[in-house]
Amino acid sequence: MTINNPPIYSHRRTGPPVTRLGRIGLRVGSAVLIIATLAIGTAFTSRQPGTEARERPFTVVGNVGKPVNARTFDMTVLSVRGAAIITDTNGPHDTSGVWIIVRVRLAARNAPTEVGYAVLVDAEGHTYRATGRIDQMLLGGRTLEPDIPVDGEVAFEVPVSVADDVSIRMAKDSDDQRMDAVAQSHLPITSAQVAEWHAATKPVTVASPAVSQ
Amino acid sequence: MPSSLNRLARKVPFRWFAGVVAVIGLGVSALFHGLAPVAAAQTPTVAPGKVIDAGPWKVTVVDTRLLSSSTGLKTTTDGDHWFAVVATVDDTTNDSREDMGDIVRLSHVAGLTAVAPQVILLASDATTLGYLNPGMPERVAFAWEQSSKVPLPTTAQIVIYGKTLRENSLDGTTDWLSPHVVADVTAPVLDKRT
Repeated sequence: MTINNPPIYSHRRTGPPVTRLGRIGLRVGSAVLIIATLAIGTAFTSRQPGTEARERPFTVVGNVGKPVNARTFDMTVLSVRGAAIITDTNGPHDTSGVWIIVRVRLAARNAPTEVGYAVLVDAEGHTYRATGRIDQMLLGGRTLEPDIPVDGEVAFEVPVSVADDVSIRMAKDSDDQRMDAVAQSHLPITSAQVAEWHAATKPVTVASPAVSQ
Repeated sequence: MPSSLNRLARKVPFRWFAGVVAVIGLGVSALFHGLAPVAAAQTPTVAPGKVIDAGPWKVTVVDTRLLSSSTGLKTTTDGDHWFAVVATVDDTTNDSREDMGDIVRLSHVAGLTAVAPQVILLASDATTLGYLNPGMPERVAFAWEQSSKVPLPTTAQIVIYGKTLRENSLDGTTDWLSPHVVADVTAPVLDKRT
């Protein structure tokens, strides 16, 4: 069988040479394609959830009196009380709002752990860290051992106007809760209790942690 | 027409085209004041007692004062004293903040042993302010240790810093970043060492 293809003398393109105007057109066309590709890519990525949403914590909500799983430990809210003034070895500490003192039971789940993050969150999403004005013996630095639950109190300052609708959140890491579990329980506080606590003049001492009996 | 364009394109180098486009762009920009001189940004001077909105916080400078170490704050060098800026600070964000050390700096005050305030105290009970809570303005003292070997100032220039809410280029989260000067406050220095 004979193939009658013409012999190949050159790999150069056939036809008339590309003019200067043609080369400019090719460059402009390339630029337009690149810009179009970038625009389409941007359109896709802008429709993806942002970093904040993608890496948000896994909030586990539970009721007062029930253990709530925070991955490395369980948090159980035991009770809540309040005050206008708290006291420690450095003397009394007043507040422009009201003190909310939450009694919790913390139990490491499988391995020794610490609890570094404790906030109250109000109905509008504002968060109030556990106060640094007194030593919070339950937070940051106390190691919880598995099967040895510890009870203790954590004190917060919040504005009086939000105190009757707050939840407590606790997590392992003090600064970064992204993609980690956060335990949350809504606190049973009434407006009447807030008014009573805000008007109280007797200083309250925040209880030190102790192994659960 | 294409052939005449081709001839023109063959004669004129590509860079000339770019130059012509740039000149046209400048001309259009000039039409819309693009070439007008821009005045240098002036930092506003605010009187003590006035509220300064600096983004994540609102600051109202009350006064500045000298405090002795007998107030309970120990200085690292005997004989030194504390230079304090007393201000009311309000957290305007949604969360408790612990970056209050970025709020205030002092300008033209000699003998300070640090740039940032070394201690931030609550005025009500002199406890160290760990967190500033949203919606709970607090009167605080930003304090620096000042050497006793420098002449005591009668006035002080206080520089108030703010931050900008923007996306963090490292991790993509949105946060208050990029500290920048928002206002200057000049206040008399009260000697409260006795």
